[in-house]
Amino acid sequence: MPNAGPYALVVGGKCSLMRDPSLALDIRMQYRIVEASGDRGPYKVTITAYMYIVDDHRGREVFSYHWQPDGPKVKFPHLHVEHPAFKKAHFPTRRISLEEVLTLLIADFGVQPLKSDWERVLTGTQQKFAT
Amino acid sequence: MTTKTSIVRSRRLTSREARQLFDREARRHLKMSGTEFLRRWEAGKFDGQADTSAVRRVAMLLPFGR
Repeated sequence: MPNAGPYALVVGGKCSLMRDPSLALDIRMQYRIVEASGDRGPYKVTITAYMYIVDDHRGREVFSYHWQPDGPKVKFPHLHVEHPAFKKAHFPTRRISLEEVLTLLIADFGVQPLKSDWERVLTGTQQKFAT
Repeated sequence: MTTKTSIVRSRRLTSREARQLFDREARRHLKMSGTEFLRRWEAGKFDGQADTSAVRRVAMLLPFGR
């Protein structure tokens, strides 16, 4: 068995998204390596915490999805909306995948995808997340 | 180790590079060193601030700092 972790993963510091005005996506994850059976074995990665943060073109947070079960306070997956009236609210969610966040940004925020078959790609990897 | 596809390039950090990244992020978001963040975090000294965006962003990278 390799060192199981936890490990941290940062995607690009902040990924600039193709949109006018632009948005930036800051992806931070923690994961462990666990034993798995079947096609995905003998080991697979399992996400143990995540933070998907969307910032506006000035670097101000717009909204973010969090799940930090080992964190000091809120253990359940939740959404933060950077509205002055609700800044401290933790809107409960189920576990959210990165694919769902990318789909949201493309479908509802007008972010331009790099691949024309983005929907097929994201749906395919989303199905693996769900199993 | 660097892995590259047509769009994505991933890089595995050495322990030293990981600590440097953690230190940079602590300085960028909280104006303190990574060592100081770790000391305060483990002493529970972020009471009242632990749920701010800046602290949360750095805390997610704790595996890099330890």
